[in-house]
Amino acid sequence: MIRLAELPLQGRTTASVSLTATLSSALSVGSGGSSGSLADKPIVKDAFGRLLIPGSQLKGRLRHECEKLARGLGWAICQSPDPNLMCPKREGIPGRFEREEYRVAGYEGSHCWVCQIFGNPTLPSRLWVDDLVCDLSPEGYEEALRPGVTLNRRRQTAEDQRLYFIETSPATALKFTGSLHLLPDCPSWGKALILAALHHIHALGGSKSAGLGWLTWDPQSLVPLQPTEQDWAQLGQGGWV
Amino acid sequence: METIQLTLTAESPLAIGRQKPGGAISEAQDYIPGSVIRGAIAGLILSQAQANPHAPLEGDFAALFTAAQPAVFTNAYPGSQSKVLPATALSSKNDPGFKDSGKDKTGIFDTLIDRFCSHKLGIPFDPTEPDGSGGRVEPYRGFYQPKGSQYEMASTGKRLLTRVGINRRRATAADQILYSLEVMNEGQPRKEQPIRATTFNGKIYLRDAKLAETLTRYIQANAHLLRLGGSVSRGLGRVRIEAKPQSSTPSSLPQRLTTFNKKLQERWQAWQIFASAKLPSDRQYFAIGLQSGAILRDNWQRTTVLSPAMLQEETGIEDGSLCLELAFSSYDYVSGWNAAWGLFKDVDLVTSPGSVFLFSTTQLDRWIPALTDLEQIGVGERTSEGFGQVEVCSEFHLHFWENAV
Repeated sequence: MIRLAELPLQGRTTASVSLTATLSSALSVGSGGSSGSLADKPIVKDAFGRLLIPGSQLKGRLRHECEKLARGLGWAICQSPDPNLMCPKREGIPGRFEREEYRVAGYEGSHCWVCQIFGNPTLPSRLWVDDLVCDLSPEGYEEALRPGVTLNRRRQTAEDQRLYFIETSPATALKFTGSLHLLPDCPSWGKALILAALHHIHALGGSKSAGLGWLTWDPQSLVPLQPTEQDWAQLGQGGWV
Repeated sequence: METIQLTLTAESPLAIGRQKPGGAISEAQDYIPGSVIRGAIAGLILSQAQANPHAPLEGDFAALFTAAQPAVFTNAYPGSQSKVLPATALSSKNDPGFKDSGKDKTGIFDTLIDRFCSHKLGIPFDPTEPDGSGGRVEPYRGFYQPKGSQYEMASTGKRLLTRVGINRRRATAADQILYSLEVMNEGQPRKEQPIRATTFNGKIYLRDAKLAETLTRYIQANAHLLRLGGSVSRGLGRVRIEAKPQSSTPSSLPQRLTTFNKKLQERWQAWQIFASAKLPSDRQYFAIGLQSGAILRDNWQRTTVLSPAMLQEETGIEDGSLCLELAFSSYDYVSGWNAAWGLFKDVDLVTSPGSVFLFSTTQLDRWIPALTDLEQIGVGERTSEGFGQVEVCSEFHLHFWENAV
């Protein structure tokens, strides 16, 4: 019997975590499909003209870091983003995937620990990642247009047809805020993995190796993600057990 | 019948797909289908109720979604009080639109009653631009909403979001995982004014007053957990939903029917300068306009015309005098995804929104209660998902060529 009035009392609630990132350098989150700029890689904005870091990028990056950490702990992890190489198909991927921890009630096959948080072609994601939006109004800043050129290594001169322009945010300490939502089915050790992954993310967007997109997470915003000792222990036992 | 008024304000782009053609782009809808709102609320209730997975799906859930007469979730159209323009509405081919939206526009007018007169009298009807210039006109589609004493179009902007998968080993774009999503914008630019958040308006109709109250409270308390459309785990589909019960007001249908018939008689008199004939004095008329796509089946076969027999079956009224005078309809195809099945829905033929059917009867008074119900429940199949919503005798039919709006 389902009674709407009683549902919120049953304890199956979504945990929402507010995230705040502060830029340490200019940001270049571009999109080839964007228009309305002279740049080859214009910066992404929402419909109100505000700067943003898309949720898809943050989620993809979090997944990547979680894969690295879990694999480092010896857990068998599939190879995203190719659907054929992801759980539950995993064509030709070696590893001990047939284990009890990889079973998900109601879903066939086995699903590695990263897929259990981020989803795969058959398992819905148990983590929702919102866009990180800079609340500064578009009138409050000006984007920077940065020219770049590729060098001909032999002649040490500019290469033909390799002049490009990247649009970036101004190099000021802009704050980007958004939220992570852990759905009721999200495993409890998911918090531990996500928290560790966030500590590995020092930059987002393009040209990271050239100094763009470096940021720091507000320590206060990470407090709600503090996992329990049991979560750390479960994650830390690794895939060798 | 109880009514819950839903106001949805987009907080992020909405990827509500219309179809997935052969290309890499998923097209976005122009509105939020009722099936999407219904599915999101049902999905949220189920996810919260899974504390006891073996519990039967009874109680409020069954009353809302699986009962013989479930709640009706209408489509949510952009703007406020938006409606679908009837298929009989025409506007200039060169410069279409409402008069208020531009200096040189000659406006939009409706031709249902004129077409009826010309059809009955056997006179060709070839309307031109309302300014008398003889310019060509053609059907004008879309959503419209009141703006003072006039109207304006209601629509949402769209944009393409390009996404790419990253090859984990090389940290570069992965092969064959570049795609673009078309989404509805979360903001609407306005002339010389700040950008306004995109809003949509829809309704939920229920028979049970107590359940309506419970559902309203549930939506208000859990609105922040609802996501609509695709890619919801990646930042898209965030909406702010406000639900409030709509106070029941006496239906304006009797008044609309009277006005419609009076105008039709007046118009008929005006057409008498071309030919002389009399309308049957005992007949009265009503127009049924589709406000959403309708899935109509006649004798197990798909159809795009609402026949008198189907209308009698839908309403349970036997009326031998009911006659379909005119039909203006087109078709489209619709599919979708059912989260409970984990499968796509079968492709259905739908009669396009805006289609108009003009009926006549000698027993109009008997039809008034049934037509009032029809405006809330809808016609055809899958009405609980918002299909088959109708408006009887739309006031837009009274905007003739000489008073285009």
